[in-house]
Amino acid sequence: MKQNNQPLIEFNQKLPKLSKNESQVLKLLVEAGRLIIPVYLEQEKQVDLKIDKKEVEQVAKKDPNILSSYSVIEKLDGKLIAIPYHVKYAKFLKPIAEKLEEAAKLTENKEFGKALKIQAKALLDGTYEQAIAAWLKVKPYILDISIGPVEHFDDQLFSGKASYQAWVGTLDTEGTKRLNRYKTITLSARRKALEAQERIDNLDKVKAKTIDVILFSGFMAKAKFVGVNFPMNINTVKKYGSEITIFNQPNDLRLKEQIMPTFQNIFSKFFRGGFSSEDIRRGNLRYIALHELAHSYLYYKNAVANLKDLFISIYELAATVLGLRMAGLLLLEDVITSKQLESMIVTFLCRSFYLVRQHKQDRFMVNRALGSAIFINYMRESGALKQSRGLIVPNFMKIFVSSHELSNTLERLLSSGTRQDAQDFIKKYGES
Amino acid sequence: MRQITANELTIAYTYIKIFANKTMKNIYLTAQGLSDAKEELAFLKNTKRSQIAEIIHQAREYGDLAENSEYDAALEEQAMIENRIAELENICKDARVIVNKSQQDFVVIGSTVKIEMDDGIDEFTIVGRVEADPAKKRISNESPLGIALLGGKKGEEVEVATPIVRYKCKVLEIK
Repeated sequence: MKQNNQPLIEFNQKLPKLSKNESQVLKLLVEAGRLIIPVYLEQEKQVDLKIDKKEVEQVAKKDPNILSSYSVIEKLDGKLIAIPYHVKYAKFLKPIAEKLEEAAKLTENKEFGKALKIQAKALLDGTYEQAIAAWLKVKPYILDISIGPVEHFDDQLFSGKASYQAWVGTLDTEGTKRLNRYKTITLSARRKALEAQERIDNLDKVKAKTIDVILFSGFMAKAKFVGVNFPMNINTVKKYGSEITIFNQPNDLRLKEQIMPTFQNIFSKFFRGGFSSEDIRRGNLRYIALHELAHSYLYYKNAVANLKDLFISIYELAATVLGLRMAGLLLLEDVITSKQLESMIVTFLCRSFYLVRQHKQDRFMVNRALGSAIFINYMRESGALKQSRGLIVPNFMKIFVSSHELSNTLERLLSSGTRQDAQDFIKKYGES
Repeated sequence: MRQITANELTIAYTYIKIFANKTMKNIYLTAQGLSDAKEELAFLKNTKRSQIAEIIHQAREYGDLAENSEYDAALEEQAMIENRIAELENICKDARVIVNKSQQDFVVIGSTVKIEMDDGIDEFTIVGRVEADPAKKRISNESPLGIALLGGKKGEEVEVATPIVRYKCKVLEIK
């Protein structure tokens, strides 16, 4: 694996058997992925420009488009204006689109080629919704790419957004089968919504795949996600469905950089002896898979508008605790074992303690670190987590019970809470 | 092979609840499950065995066995097939076929049950562990949920418990 100061991670994964055509197409996709770096770096410069948040909100009252996930805000003659990404970064995007066009012409998979072509066009003219729709139609295929700006809520009101990203990889067929099995079991349970009229139901339109990653660039290289559930925009989800993607190699990277060192630090030797490194590796993948699946039950129409800047912390934590709850049902159906559920909880605890301790150095993870602090404090208050001689002593049964209560509270905030409600909750539990 | 009745199953479910964690010698199968197992066994013995033997024979001809990944893969597959044949032979030998005489008073192996649990409504058929596949809505009579549901009546609330997870589960319907 290669990591350097650039927003690029290249994983040395063993490639599956590919045809000559697939290998050629893959090479072009990797080249396109690398070309995300300059546009992402340009965006990072933009993030540093100081534009007053209140001023943006004021302008947004008259022109809501200024808050678009796909534009940057700049000052021209003292006035704030929104410039669409595809205009602002046109010179960087052209070579990427050309690579995608070339790959589209070359590939023998017509459906994949069509989506590549639509994606290339979207980069140049901002028709992102068409691109999302096209990718969601593509049947599982050995080659996989996601490229372009991701809509994310983390910095919706700020002047710039570092959102250009790419991943390139190949389909892990066995992992995809396992993930889809979890999907079938968990989503067929048809959990009731807290506020039925408030929730978007897309349970029949959820796709899922597991990817062996070759390359992460731009935002993905910084965030190093192990799983994603795209699109995030609820209206887009309603129209076209959504897709969960789990990444194998980034999971190994997270274990190495975050989970295992934290595991060694926060638990006693005796406790650690109960878990092999394979338990931890799979535990982390499972909790993230369940987290992403749980998102499908949390599409509340007005949550973003109601909770505003606090939405993402609440939404992400809600998905994790609901995911743990869903894992409990898998245990009762003999799909997973007690040890596997414990491993999921242990890896989430490691991730939470890591984020709480490291978030000051990592501005990408501030929102998730807040969620982690809430989880830890909530568990401490309920007696599910105890501290002894600087080490953490978890009570799995109490964690499970408390997660259930926490899950209800968070879902209530998403379904009908106000920003003030969220703020009060965070004030009580969010101190790190 | 002997067929078991619903009455015998009521005794069996009590037994299962008590000894749930111990290895059960009896293998409960639906008639369809047994038929599927026999069909798979016949396919593996009569077709797959000779196919894999042929693949191994061809792989040997590629030369150096130490560096021959096709040969290794074929040997691995052969071992898996032989294991599966042994497993299926045991299943067919020890199988007890479930006769579900449209039993709807309480849950028995073979019942399809609609339940409400943890804010979700779901429907399962309770089957022996060999046929269990939660993705196809077939859960094992030996799973915590299967154990809790056996003997349950319509409208009854049963408790499903493991050392970590504990839920109330309401039986909405028995089919």
